[in-house]
Amino acid sequence: MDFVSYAIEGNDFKAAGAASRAIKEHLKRIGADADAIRRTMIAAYEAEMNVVIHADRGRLEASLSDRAVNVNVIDEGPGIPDIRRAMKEGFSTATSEARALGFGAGMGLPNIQRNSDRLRVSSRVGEARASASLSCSSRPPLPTSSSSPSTPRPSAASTAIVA
Amino acid sequence: MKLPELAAKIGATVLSPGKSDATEVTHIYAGDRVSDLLNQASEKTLLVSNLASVQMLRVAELMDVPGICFVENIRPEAEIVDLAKANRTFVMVSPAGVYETCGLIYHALAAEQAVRPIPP
Repeated sequence: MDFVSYAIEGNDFKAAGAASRAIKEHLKRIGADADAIRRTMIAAYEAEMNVVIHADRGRLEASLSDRAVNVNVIDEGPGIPDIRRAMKEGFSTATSEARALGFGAGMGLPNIQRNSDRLRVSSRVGEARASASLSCSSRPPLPTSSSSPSTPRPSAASTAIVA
Repeated sequence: MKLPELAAKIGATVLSPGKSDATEVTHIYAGDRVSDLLNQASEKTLLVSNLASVQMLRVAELMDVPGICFVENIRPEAEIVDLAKANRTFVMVSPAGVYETCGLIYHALAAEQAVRPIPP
């Protein structure tokens, strides 16, 4: 398991995505499968852009192996007053500058959720800190013919939201 | 259809030649919302967009997208073209808008399908 950490600067749309790119290169080096890389890229990039668009600065930390990726994004900014509302498709508080660049469609958090096995978002308004943790794995799905009723099936995405 | 050939058929100007083996695209997606482009992107996808920004190149890089077609004769900044060349991402600019450009691409690909010999 490898551990990496990258700083993210708020409102820096030119450098945005550099942390996600570095994670991609790392995953390719350690032999992660294409599906896991794809899902991780969508989730990590959306999380990274959330920091660029909404926060002053932040950090993307990840633990990586060829079987699983865990990404933790922490930022300093105004926080998310209503996380459940923020998870709804189409809801966005992005600036006009961000929208002009194609962001702010309100799909970021839903996209992260869809491409993660597990997503946890926490934020406290006034404490200027929010975090999102997600994990993706490349484990194969359980075969349906041999599953017993008591065998737990991996979920496409499970979410625990802490406001 | 390979991207350089497609560019010629739709009258687009090539700004970045992409990979030397000229990837063949089988999926086209047009949009101006990055989240949608992320979801639809693949190593066989041509993205059509009016978002001539560094972040379009980043999406292409992260999702292994072989080519981008900008529309309406948009001229991306030199920095974006340089990044495309460095990443070996094919970039072309169509003189038409999104709707017409997609129509031209559709007809070019349909014509190719019509003449492609049916495999035994």
